[in-house]
Amino acid sequence: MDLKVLMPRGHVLLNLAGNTRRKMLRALAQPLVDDQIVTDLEAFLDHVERREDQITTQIGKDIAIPHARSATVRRLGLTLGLADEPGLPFNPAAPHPCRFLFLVAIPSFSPTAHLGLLQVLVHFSNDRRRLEKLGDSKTATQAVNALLSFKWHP
Amino acid sequence: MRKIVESLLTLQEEELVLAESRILHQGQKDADLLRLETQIRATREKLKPDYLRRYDLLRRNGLGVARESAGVCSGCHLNVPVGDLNRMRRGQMPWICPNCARFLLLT
Repeated sequence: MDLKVLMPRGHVLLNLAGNTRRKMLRALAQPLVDDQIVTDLEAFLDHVERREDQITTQIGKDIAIPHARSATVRRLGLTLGLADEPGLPFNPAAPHPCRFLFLVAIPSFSPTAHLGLLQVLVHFSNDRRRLEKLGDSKTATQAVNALLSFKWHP
Repeated sequence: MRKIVESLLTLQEEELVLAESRILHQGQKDADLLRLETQIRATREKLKPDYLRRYDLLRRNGLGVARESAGVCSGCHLNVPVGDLNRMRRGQMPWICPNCARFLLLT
């Protein structure tokens, strides 16, 4: 799995905003629609929210990795949203707001394609120093480089 | 047959969510993971042992249930013969892909 392919600069959203989960997810999913990875935005968002309602994807202090399998997804897709401090109320039940949101789109014909990617993202998120460097990114290029500099092998 | 395959697909989806959650939460969120496991047990109890046995055998090597779309199995990406699809729809054949042997949910 090549993160460079999955995460072009256009898939990084700085200053992510939104006062509801749906709004945040819509903003995160838009690059996937623009690149024709997701063919039906609202249907895909319904799938993501349904998945989120089953069990939260917020992990650690301020990271969320929402994801969903959907027939509206043509291939594995990834976007990253960085919110300004103190973060966004992605999961109102969580004690902390989210600053880092990775959205993963999974094609329904390959429902386990993302498991390796989830492992990479979780291990990246465990490294607080790297996470802070990502949070300090002023441009999409810096954010992508911060992510790509992380090498983890299971 | 549709209800059985749909239940198996639900079970597969619940198992995938559990696998994802174990990766994400790394042993934490025990209460939520326990709830998922209970849900999976409840889904399994509703299914006949024969179907479960076949499903579990298939799941050892990947997916147990695939969707049919435009005559193609999403599990093996091979065409399902039209005759077989018609026989499945008429209830003359179990909804199982003749190529990869996965349960097949027909559209």
